[in-house]
Amino acid sequence: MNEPLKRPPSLLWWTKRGAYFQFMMREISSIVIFVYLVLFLVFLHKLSKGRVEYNAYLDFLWSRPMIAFHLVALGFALLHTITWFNSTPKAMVIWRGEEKVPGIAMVVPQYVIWLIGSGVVFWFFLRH
Amino acid sequence: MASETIKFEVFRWHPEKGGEPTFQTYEVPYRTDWSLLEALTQVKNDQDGTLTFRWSCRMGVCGSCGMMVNGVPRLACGTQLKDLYPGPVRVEPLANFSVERDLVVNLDRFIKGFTSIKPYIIRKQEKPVSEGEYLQTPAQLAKYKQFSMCINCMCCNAACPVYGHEENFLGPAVLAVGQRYNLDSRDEYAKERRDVMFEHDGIWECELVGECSQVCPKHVDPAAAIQQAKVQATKDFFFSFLGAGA
Amino acid sequence: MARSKEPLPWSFFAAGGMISAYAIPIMIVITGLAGALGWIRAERLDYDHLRPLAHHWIVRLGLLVIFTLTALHCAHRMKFTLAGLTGLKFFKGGASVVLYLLALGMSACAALALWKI
Repeated sequence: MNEPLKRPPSLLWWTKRGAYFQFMMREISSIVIFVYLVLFLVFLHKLSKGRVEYNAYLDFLWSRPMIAFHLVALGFALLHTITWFNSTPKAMVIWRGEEKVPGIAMVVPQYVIWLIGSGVVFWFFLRH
Repeated sequence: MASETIKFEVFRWHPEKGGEPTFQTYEVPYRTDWSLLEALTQVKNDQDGTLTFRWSCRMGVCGSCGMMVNGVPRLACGTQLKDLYPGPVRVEPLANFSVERDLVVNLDRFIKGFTSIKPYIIRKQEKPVSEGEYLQTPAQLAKYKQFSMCINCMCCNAACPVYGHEENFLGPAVLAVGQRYNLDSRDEYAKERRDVMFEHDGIWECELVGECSQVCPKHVDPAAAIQQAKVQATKDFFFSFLGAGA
Repeated sequence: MARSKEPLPWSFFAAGGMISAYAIPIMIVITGLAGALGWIRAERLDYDHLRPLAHHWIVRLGLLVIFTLTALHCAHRMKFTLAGLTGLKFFKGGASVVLYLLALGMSACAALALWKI
């Protein structure tokens, strides 16, 4: 008589269902954002080095391939933001008597604060 | 309608035969009011008595008939043929568990984890029956009620990729029921139960994929139970440095 | 087995996740897209405009906090991602320390660069 049959998962398990694929994309956002942090670190370093080095770096940073990377990075960053805000009610439960405060009450304010804050920063660079 | 059928490709494996599993196709009358369980019952009664699967209540409260339906863990009694039409439908045993026979999986791993968190009320001092019941307000009940709805169907564990990759991970079902007892005002065992749940193979392997909560037929939301447990564990961790103890 | 020490890196993961959710999208827009694509005048990001702004101690402190917490968040999540993509448990083991040290190292470099701005 044989032992129960084991069925180990495949390496491409996350390609088999949309939900798993979305999860893996969210996880991969950490790698993309990390790469952006490297670029940002260099940005800060070049800014500390003076006008010449900083301008040279901007030429590189604003080249076509880098713009493409930043567009991709923005996509992944937004995926992180959206999935992060949406999962807040899972970790934080606030009770009012026998009822939970509905999750949406914790999620919507975060979007509002995020959009307003980002808008203010963008407006600042638009104006000054 | 009477002549319409729906095809099922069903996973077959018998331990006495061994070898690689196979898929056998069965054609079942397409009845719009049938569940997958009724279709499998028709197969077993009228076509192939050797097909083996677990079932009991037929109404989504016993947790026996969990299986993979087109790659998603579902209760067979809770899956309607009209939602599967036109098919063909792939039916397999629950993922992440070893197979005993056909659609029946071995649940030893779950039972071991379940026992380890002591899923029952434990008091420091038991109250004698003559002193009456343990009283609980509706608000106290509300805190753990959702997590108490688990029927041990194992759909969550089958949906969890971490459960499939990490053989020591306790899994969403065990952690949700652990949290159910931790939040029950009648229980006084929370610290010791947390010692098990807050080990590395407890809550910390969870990556918040969230599929466990998506597939749960009883809306237990084990993902929420685990995230809340992580917050609790973090509070305990930092307070223990402040000498407040867990 | 004793309770895990995971709450420590997890706290940084949670704080970093929150701060990066708010800050990273607009940072990517400002540094990498807005000037490059003409959404704002490119001069706004030139050295003479940016350096005085970045020199403010509040801006430098804020950027350092955002950078450090985001880096630690990414390191924590990357450990799971790399293990999940490659099937190699090693990323969750010894390699994870390398990832955290890398994040801290980058943050130290960021602190140095911000100090000199």
